[in-house]
Amino acid sequence: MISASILRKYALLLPLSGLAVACGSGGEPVKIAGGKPAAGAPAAADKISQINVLVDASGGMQGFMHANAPGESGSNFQQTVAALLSDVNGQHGAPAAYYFVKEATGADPRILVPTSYGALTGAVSTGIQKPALGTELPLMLAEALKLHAKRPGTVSLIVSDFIYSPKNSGETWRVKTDVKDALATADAAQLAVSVFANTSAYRGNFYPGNRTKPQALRGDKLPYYIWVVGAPALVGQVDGTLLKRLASQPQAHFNTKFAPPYAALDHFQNQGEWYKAEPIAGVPALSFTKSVSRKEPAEVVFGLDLKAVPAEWQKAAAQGLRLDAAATDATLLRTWPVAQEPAAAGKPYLQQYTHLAKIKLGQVPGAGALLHLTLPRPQPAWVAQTSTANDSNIAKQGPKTFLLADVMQGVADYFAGQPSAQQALDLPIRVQRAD
Amino acid sequence: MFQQLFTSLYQALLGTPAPSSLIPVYQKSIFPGVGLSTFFAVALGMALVYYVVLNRLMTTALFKTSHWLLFVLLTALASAVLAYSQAHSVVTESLNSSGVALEGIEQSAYNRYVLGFLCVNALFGALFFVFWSFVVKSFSTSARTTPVRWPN
Repeated sequence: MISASILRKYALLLPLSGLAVACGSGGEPVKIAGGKPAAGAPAAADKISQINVLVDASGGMQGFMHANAPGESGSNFQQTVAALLSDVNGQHGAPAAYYFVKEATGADPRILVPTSYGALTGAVSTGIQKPALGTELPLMLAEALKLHAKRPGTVSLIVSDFIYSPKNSGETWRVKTDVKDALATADAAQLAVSVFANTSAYRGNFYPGNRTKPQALRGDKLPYYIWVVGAPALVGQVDGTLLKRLASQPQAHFNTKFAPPYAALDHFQNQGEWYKAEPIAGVPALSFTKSVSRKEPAEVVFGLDLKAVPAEWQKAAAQGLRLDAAATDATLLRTWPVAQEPAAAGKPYLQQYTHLAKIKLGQVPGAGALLHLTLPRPQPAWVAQTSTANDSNIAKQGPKTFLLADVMQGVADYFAGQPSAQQALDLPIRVQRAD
Repeated sequence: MFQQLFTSLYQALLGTPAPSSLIPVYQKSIFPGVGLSTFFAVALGMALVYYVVLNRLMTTALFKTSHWLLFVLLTALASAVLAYSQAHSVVTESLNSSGVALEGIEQSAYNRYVLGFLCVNALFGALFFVFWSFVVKSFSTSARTTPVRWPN
């Protein structure tokens, strides 16, 4: 009798001991899913370790760096490059080095001549002391990349007119191959090139790329370019910081990685039962409950902050976003700018984005799936318009660059095997079943 | 495991939290937090107050079953208040951190679910109090047999 009553007493205590055990193991941290955009926080590998500025010191650049009478505002080139140099000098994120680019001669076989910030700005504002005869574009790129190989994390800013005229004018047909080969020392997956175009008044002798006689110009506008070369994410960083002033200029990006913040909006036009789960390796994850089905699909609106991506891409994003649905039935219902969303007024959680994309989903595989919101790579139209095959009479043609299209094609060919050749932006989204 | 225990306890009666965007907040913060404090702070606390403080350390005349039932009700009430205030403050904090305000259908879904949650927690509080009563009644002197003689 007694033993039975004790047993019953302890049977009552059993659930308590179970709870106590459960309590002891409940060490999981309490985290609340916030609505902050999944900003790709730069990891240690994404850090710029060195900034090299290379300024073409050939005679063909001399016209941009002309002397100015007192009170003159200076050419666009002088203003832009001086401001860029000053920004590079003023940033404290990474050490900076400055180089003149010249041709290799018997007396001095160097192609990159190290110089100082002061000497370089001096040359930009008053002209180069001893201009080189000419610089070979492929050599310039190859030499810049040699510095990259020595120090990973290097980003080069190359300022030049990027006129490439092969020594043998019968070999202009292979300009694109030469450019492609010049980049070939680097791994295409680890390299990116951003090209910013600009025009500036040119005073002095212009040396045509097809090696006809020089033409004297008095302030005609000619194109020059700033190339940013380095690791994909680092070039994207530099584009958005040091080159911010050039954001509205014509530009082309090859393999440059932009990481715009984006996140699902769980309180805006959301349909069906789903919630934001913990991001997996920086990829935002959505969990869908069992109630989501083909008959009752869920709708998710994503906010995209595209302020830091090139303006042309921003424009394209309003119409051109695509959805790679993986193994799901997901479809992209609509993409629209936040500015056109009437409900966005007074809602800071919407205002922090520039674009909205609504996705419909009625089926999530058991193992989950990785969707991709992508933007097809827009082809920069300005390249063809700025390119010419004959620059003998540049004063009449206006601002054009000899065989620019071929040079750019060479760069594009080099990156043709990279996913970025098709997709400018790739924003992954993980979908899974809620347990 | 602990998180899952309370999540399944509450969801068995309430279904998944609504609006669904608040599911992680409920499952990771509100369910375990409220469940734990109801079980230990509220239910055990009230049982100790009733059996040890009132009916051992002090000599009050509160040993009758009707008094015990009053304490069951008080525990239920305290559990409901705890559930509501916890849910409200955690949800508000989470929404504020993302700059969102619930509107229309989401607000009504939230209200409905919180109402259900406080009722369920009142029930759980009462049950937990009953459970603790049988555990701690033997520590009491004047209420050893409240509400029933068993098992003493």
